[in-house]
Amino acid sequence: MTTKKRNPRDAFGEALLELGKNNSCVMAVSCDSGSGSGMNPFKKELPQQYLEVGISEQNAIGVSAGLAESGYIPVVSAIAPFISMRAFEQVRNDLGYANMNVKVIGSSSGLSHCALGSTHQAIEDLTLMRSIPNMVVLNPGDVFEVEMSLRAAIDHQGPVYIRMPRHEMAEPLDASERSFEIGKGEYLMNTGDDIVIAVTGTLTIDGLMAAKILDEMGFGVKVINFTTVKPLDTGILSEAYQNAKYLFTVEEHSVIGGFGSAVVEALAATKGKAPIHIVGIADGSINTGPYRELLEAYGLTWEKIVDRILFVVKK
Amino acid sequence: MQIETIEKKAFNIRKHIVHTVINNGDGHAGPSLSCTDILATLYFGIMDIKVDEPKYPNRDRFILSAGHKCLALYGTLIEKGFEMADVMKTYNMLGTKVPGHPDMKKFTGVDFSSGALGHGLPIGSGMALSAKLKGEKQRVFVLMGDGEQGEGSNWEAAMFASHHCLDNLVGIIDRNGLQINGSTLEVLDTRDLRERYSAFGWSVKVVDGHNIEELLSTFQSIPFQKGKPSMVIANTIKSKGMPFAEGDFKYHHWNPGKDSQEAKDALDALEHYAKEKGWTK
Repeated sequence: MTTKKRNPRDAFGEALLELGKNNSCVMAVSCDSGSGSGMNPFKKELPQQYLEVGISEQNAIGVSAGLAESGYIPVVSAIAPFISMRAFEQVRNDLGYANMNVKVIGSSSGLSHCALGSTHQAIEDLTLMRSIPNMVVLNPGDVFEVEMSLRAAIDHQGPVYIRMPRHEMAEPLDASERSFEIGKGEYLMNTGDDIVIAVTGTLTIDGLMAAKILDEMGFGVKVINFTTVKPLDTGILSEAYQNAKYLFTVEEHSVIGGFGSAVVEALAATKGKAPIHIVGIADGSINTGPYRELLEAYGLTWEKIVDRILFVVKK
Repeated sequence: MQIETIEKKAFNIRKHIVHTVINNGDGHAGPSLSCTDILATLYFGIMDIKVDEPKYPNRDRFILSAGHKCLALYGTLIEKGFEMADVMKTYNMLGTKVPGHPDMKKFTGVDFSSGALGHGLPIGSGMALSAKLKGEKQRVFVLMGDGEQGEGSNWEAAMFASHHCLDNLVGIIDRNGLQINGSTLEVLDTRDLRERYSAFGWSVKVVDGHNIEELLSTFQSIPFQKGKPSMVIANTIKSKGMPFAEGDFKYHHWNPGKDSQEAKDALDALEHYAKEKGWTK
């Protein structure tokens, strides 16, 4: 694990600018969210490809659909709950069903806006976005995944939702050793089959740290990282599940309908007897506080993940 | 000559609407019949489109934001030559190309899918902005209902379109004064739409939505004001062409049954109109 920390918004903004310079069809669409999304460098250097829509997410999605129909590749960004929930019907009908080539960026997703309260937290967006036909759902957990998600989204023909983190973060692996492809999971650790931990997004690091503790305790542990929540890499998942004794999914998202649900759906008809436990935010959790403290309260820090896993496997 | 041609097309579109609902069951006959003359005028007198090249990039665009009026759009596109009339025989059937709201993936000539109200003006704004950015001359027409004005997304788009000076964007409100539960006055008052859109930075004209000559001259004068999006508020009559149903909100949906008296009355009204016009022997 690298100790270097980078801001994902900066990484996103830099990558977007480069993509915009290379392709004049790339259009950054802001809902008064340029600075919060990291798009200000793009606005400064490519003003002709920058569109300010104002605080109107429904209109932003509709306008983006119209731009896409005319050949543009809009990258529309707003705070995650607003773009994924207020504008859900527009995303579903005008991007998903219509299969429009629009990239939706849910910025400051999950519990990022920890102190602002539940209105600004997005813990149901994966549930909603992955239910939409044609929609690819990416949930990057570090700046490497942020950059690669954006590049892959631009290359992909069709609608993509990227769940953007906000806080500075370390990277689990040296980026030079990694590859990225939509729909592909990757092993971050593989020491045995006692415990398989499937991780996604911002809790990748915590999942991996928990795994290392468990490994040191003598358990054989697999950690599989899924940046792509839809389409899920069912191949790598099924293979790991076949011999697993326990499977845990870890996500900074509601336990209802998110990544864990996607994993359970994928494994429902496969061989394997391991119990599956979804580690996420319990239904009805509405709380505010400093980010790590909020994660701890919801049982999502690496220490709490270890406790949860040991509680299950030692029963 | 052009006006009579458009009137005949409008008549044929009405026949598609009425025959389809009589033969295949439940459909939004009332709202389709109120916007028929507007669609006929646009497609046969105003819009630059190519039937042999439906996706011609610089074509004018039409979005039926009030997608439930789809029978009028299907009839128009059939009359234009995009699809064969037989397609309407599959209306309300499994796998049809003519579902209850238009689908761009199924019916040639539909520029964007619609159904949920309040989506068309934002999408049309994006198309109009694209044309401006590319220096293309295409115009974008978005037809909405007056009841549809209750959707807030329309007003988001109204602000956006005037802010970006989209004078190649034309909104049309099929103002038949009725919605599914009754009069628009009773449900949600929309009397002052002219003032509201004017206040949002649009240039607005109010016309008789069944007067082809007036519709034609109005659309020919677009943009009404350089630098501003144009809004045409077309006063219409719901179920226009079926006298027994005109102005009655109960005919928002219509499902008369093939052998019903209403079906016979509707067909008689069409025949009578054609005779009056001298279009039948």
